[in-house]
Amino acid sequence: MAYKTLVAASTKPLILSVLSHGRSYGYQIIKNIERLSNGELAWTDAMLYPVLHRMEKDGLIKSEWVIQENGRKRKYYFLTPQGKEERDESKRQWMNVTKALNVLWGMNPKLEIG
Amino acid sequence: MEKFDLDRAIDGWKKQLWKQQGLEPGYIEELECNLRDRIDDYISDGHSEKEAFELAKHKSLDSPESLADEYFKVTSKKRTPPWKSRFSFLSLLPLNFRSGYRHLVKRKLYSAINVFGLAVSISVVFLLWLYVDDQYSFDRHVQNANRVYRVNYDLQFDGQQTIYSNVGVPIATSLKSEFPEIEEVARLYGMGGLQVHTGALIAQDVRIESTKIFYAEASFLKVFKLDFIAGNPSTALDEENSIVISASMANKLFGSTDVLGNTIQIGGSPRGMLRITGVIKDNGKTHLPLEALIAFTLPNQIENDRWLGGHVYTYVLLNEHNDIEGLRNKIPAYREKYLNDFFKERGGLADVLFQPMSSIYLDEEYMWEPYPHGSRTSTNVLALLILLLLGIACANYINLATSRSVEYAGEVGIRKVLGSSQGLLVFQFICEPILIAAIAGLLAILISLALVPIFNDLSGLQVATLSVLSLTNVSKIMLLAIAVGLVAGIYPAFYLISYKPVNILKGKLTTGGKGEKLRQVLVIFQYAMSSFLIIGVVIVAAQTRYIVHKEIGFEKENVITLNVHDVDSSGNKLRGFMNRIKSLSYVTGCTSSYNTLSAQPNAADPVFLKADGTEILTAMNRIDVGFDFFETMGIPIVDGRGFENQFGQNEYQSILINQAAVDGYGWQGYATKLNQKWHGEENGSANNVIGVVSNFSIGPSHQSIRPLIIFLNQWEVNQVFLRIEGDHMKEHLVELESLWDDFFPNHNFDFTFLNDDLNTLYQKEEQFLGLLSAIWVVIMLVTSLGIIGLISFNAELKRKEIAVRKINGASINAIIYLLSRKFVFLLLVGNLVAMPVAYYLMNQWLSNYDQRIDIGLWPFLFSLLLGLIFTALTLFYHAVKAARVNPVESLRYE
Repeated sequence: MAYKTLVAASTKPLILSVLSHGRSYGYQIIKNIERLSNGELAWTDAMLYPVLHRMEKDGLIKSEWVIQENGRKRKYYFLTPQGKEERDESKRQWMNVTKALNVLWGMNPKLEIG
Repeated sequence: MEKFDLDRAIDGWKKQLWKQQGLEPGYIEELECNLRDRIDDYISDGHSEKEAFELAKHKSLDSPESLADEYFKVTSKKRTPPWKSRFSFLSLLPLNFRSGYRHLVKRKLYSAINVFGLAVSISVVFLLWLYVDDQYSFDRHVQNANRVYRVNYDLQFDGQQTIYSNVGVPIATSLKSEFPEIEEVARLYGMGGLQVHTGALIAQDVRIESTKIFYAEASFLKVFKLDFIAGNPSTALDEENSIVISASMANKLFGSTDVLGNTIQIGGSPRGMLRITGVIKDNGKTHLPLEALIAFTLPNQIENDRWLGGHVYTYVLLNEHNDIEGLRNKIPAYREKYLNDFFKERGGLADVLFQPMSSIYLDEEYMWEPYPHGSRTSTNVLALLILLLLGIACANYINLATSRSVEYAGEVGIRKVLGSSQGLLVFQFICEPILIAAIAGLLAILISLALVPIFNDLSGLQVATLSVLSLTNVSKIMLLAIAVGLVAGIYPAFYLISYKPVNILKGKLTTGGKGEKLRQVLVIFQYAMSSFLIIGVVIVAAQTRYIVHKEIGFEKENVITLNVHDVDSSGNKLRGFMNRIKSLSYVTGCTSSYNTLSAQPNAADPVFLKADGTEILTAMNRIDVGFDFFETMGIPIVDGRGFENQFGQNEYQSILINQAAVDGYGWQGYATKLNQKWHGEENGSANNVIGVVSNFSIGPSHQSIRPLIIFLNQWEVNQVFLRIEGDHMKEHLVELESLWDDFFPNHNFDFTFLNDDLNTLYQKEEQFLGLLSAIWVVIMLVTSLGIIGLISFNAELKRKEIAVRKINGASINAIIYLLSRKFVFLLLVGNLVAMPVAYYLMNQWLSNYDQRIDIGLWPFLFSLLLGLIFTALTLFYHAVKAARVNPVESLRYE
């Protein structure tokens, strides 16, 4: 399982990134993330929904209730323009981190040490 | 097995979430979608519906609360959600008191009625409690009190049973030698004898008279543990001429309690100086208050073989086992051995009874009690009334509170909708009565301060006004108040919160209809109580009046009693003084007597002889009087003649009897031919019956008049009676006193009015009457206040009805009738409930009296009438006010 702090830090970028591919609903987001992380990130409902709620309040995402063919309702989330900007910004930051880590874990990191 | 219903299961799951504070319906709906999606997935994986539900539920969330926590974390800046904050009822107190205070201020009249009614009740309950507690606490503080018993004589002569509080002298020694379980016995008798029972102590030139001086055996200090300030209790009364005095007596005589070894003289006695060997603390609330104990040893003072006559108070201390029943069972054998022969010879029967010391004070008074007692019946009645008064105060509160409940309904509805729990609501609505009660408690302290002097007057207690403010008393009052607040508040609180918020908010509640039945029952209870009390008051008053004003067979007005028991009454000086007095123009009669007229006379068992020599054993009372007794007292002689000086020494062989003796023994026609002697006397020395007097009562007038034998006695004189012409009494008394001082310069002029002496016999009744009346006033007041509250509420409810009726032509009378008929009905029911109970209890009370009134119908009518008047007065103002309102005003509200 992933570190708790890592989970906390990555939640928002992950949600924003999922939604940048199109609208989605809570359960679907959970399933996608679980699959993409090979089960490493198993979000609980109690974690996800409050975060979605908060992000909506902050204006990053919007939601709408959609009635399906079978009569059941479902609440879909999608990105707002502000959410897109936020996703780009977080993408840039996370890329930096990954790039740095990749170099460090490579053969010749060229470090000044000692 | 029941089929699994997925929708129902999901509904149940949702309900769990709804209960959690902080989860909004929108959240829950979304979570439900999530749950359903999961379930679908599990089902498609091949799970059953039930398994799928369980798995999904488990996966979805741990607990509703942790979910709510997460939501709270992301939405609020506060650290802890309200459902997590540490909660205590205490933290709500200020809030609840504030809301209670707002209600109070909003309804000023209602609050004032409530507070005032409670305050008066609490203050009266407190004062009565002091009285009842005082009465019950006699002798409780004495060490070993539970092992100390007084020995009483139960004597029967000629079928007449009398219980004596004192017994023959040899009883003590014979009991001690017979029964090892008796650890100690002690005898004592009052100075001045049983009739007068007053003595005087003299130290230097201070002379103090007291009824609390006793001669006591040394063993008395072992039976009664007295609190010694100085001296040694185990030896204090060992030596002849020792005296132990109380601190208050020491202060009166010497102005100090440091008086060990000082000497004291006994007034009017040749006996020498007494040495103080002990000083005790005043022995407090006891049936036997003591100011001085003088050592005596038998057989010097009293013969040791007198089983009858010359009685002494006798107390026994039982050993640790305290097996009083065992002892009582052995008494028949004891009687056989010691008493039966002696008493059979005299035509009588004797038994000894053991009376627990701690119950003496409230038990009935037996013959020759050293002091008057309290009354157990009256005390119990008052204790019961305290409880009932508290009940009425609570009932009043409940009435007013539930009738006002509509006003609270809105608040209850809103609070419930906002998620307040039942417990919190009850707590809130109980804070209000407690607040009211606390204010009432403070007011009750003030009222008690004002009432203490009246209370002292009524009860005969001496409560210092400021002692009300002592910590114990203040906390007693406040505790009482808060307890009343709690008890009274619980029902209205539950009643208020039982409203359904939906109904309240829809405005469906317009009247407090639900509590109507209960309110009626409570009003009936209040009316019944006040009716019961007024019947009681009327009957006690009538009986007291009856015994005080009853024809007692002699004229008690304008008679002065001079107490002369410690002047040398056998000498000529007293006769000289009486002759001098007789010559005064305003003195219309002067006589002397051994007996007082305000206490029961001695019992005697004279033998009467008919002309043919037949002997008749009798049981009579005996008094000894001087010449002119019947003339002075206005007692008619119905047969024969009275004592006359002209017959000289022979007259001392003459006796009179009363009409009751003639009637009782059937001596009509030949009474004056009878002779009388005593047991064992030769017939030759017999006395002659020279006359019969009409019946007159001696002592309490409610006792039947017993056969009486009257002797002429000029040597033992305790009282001189003077009949004075009514006018200028003050001047006459001044002259009489200066005459007295001429004859007896060393003795106080000690007089009382016979009328007053007799009236003190009825103090107990007067006290009881006073306290009953006071309670009645309070109950009537509180009930009236309650009714004022109810009627003004009713008038408000019916405001529209009244207006419509008026528009349609109803008269004011009709409106008043509309508003008040219910209360009159309740009054009638209350009276009907109270009457049989009152009749039964008052009959019981009256059965204590030989001479008693018949209850009759009028106390009941009076109670009904008084109830009607009070109700009418209470109702009238409000009913008229409501009826006179212009209908336009009322209807404009719409």
